[in-house]
Amino acid sequence: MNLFSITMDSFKESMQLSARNMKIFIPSIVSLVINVIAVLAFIVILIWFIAVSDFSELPDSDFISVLRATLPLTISGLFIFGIAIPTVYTMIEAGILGMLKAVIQTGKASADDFFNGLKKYWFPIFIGLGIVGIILLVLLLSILPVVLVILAGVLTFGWAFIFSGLLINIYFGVWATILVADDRGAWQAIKQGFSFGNRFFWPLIIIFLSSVFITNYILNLAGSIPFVGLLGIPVIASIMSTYFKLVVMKFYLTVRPENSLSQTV
Amino acid sequence: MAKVLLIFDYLKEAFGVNRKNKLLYRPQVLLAVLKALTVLSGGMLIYFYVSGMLGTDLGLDNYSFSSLLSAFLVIIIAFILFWVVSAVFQSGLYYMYNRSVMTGEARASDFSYGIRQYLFKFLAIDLLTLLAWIVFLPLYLIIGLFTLFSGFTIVPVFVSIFLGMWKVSIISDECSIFTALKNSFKFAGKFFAAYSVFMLIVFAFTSPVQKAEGIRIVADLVSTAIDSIKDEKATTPDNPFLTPDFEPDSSLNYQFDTYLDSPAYKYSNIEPSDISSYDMDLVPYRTSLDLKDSTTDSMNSFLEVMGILFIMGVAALSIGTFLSSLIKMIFDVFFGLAMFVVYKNKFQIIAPEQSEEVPK
Repeated sequence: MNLFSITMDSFKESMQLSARNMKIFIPSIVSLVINVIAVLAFIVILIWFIAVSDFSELPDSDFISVLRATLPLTISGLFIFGIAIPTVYTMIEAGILGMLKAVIQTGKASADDFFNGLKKYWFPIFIGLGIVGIILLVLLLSILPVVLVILAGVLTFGWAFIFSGLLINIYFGVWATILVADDRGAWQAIKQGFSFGNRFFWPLIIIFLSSVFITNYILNLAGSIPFVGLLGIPVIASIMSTYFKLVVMKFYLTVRPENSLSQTV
Repeated sequence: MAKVLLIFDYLKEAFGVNRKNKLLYRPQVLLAVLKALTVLSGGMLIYFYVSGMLGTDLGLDNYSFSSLLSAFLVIIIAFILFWVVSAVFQSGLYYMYNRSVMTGEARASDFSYGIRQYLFKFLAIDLLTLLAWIVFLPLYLIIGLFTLFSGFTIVPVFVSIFLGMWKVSIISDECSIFTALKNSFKFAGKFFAAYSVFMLIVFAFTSPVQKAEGIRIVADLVSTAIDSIKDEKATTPDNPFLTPDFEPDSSLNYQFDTYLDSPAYKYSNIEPSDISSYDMDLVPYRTSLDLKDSTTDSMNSFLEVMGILFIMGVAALSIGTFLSSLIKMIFDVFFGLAMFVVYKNKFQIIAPEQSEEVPK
């Protein structure tokens, strides 16, 4: 069986599994609601801060005074967007991956699988996110790759921008799946994710490209329908994101080195 | 659900056929080269036309209605030529896809055979589709408005789904245009759910949407670059004749007060205290004629620079057209084959493929 067939089978079986276990989509929708609440909370804090504060002397003040005056807002913003949302995101991500692993291995997923995954994997994923974030920041700060991508992007009418995003997903988008699927540590999972991306480059391109194109197309269609766009788009995006995570995990569990299938092919 | 899952089996079959028939890419590569040459020649035509207009006088108000009309006609003819050339390639390619799916192998002669047999039918289908859109345009607009503009997006998708197998049926079933249209409608109606999912996947990869996304990113970058260059130009003191608030007075010489406000003074080295001791006749202010000569020279340099930038832009556009066509080609060939596989199998279960080794 060739890799393309295995990839298509991953899509097919993921579709069957997700149709039979619709509850795997619930955590991502809950995550969406939490994000919306967090943003609304920040907006409320911002409005309250503007209402109670006196800004008349700010234009004539120095930088330290301005910083002191806006300190409560800065702290609440940093807390909400720098700590609360990433923490909640990693917790829910860990829970989702735990459910996906259970649904692939046993055919069923439950709330227990979510909470077990959350408890076991959220901290390693949190650490892993930090490491990957630093690696990507270093890459972005090296000007040459950015300049090359921009040049290539202009010459190919934007395709290079799409492919550069794909490359990041291929090399840095599978580690969380490996961390949960194989119970690895963060750094080991990142290393393994990189070499997995190297070895199964083309199937992963197909999976991530499909994720981008199909999700964008459906969102564009949904966005053209009034009222559906406002609520429907984030929900559809969450569902598509969970589905493609299931495809990645299914593909990984099929072809990972320990699996007998990969040894016969 | 079972029929929807069959889509992935059909995509596997299409992939297998694609791998064995690399010949299918040759016409597409040629088409990509032709597209790039079209963009290049179109750009050069525009460049020579505009520079010819500007060469007579600085102002653009010397163009005549007949030259505009001829330019418009050239564009129309170019569009028609492009449409015919696309139909030529499409008819040849579609026949090659059919041969690949039915017999497992396409030959180079299939391309020319497909053109001979199906070119006029494909042109007729395109014309009929265009006419239908013109005839039903009021209905389309009404539906679009009554559905709060969502119809403007959804209706073309539905129409494309129902017409999607028209050209496929003409070749697969070797029938007339109207029989193929009926077959396309019947196919879409019979397998609507699964076929719609399949067509949504095809549109996601081959429609202008994702290309527009990429082009939007490029357009944002280019407009940001242009804005930053414009902002820089607006503030630089190097060329006073390009500052937004400068407007030369072409009628009279500047008076003393006006001279102090003029850029000619601002960019000279004369101080007000020095001027007051001079007789007015000796004040070295510029006449309107001097200003107009300077304006002409600056305009000419500006236009030269714009001309060079335009030529570079056209060259980059041609390369971009070629590269993006090559990338699009992969999806067009694969999903073209998939369309024929789906039509052939009609959402029935196909035999499992042979095993192949995965490279280590």
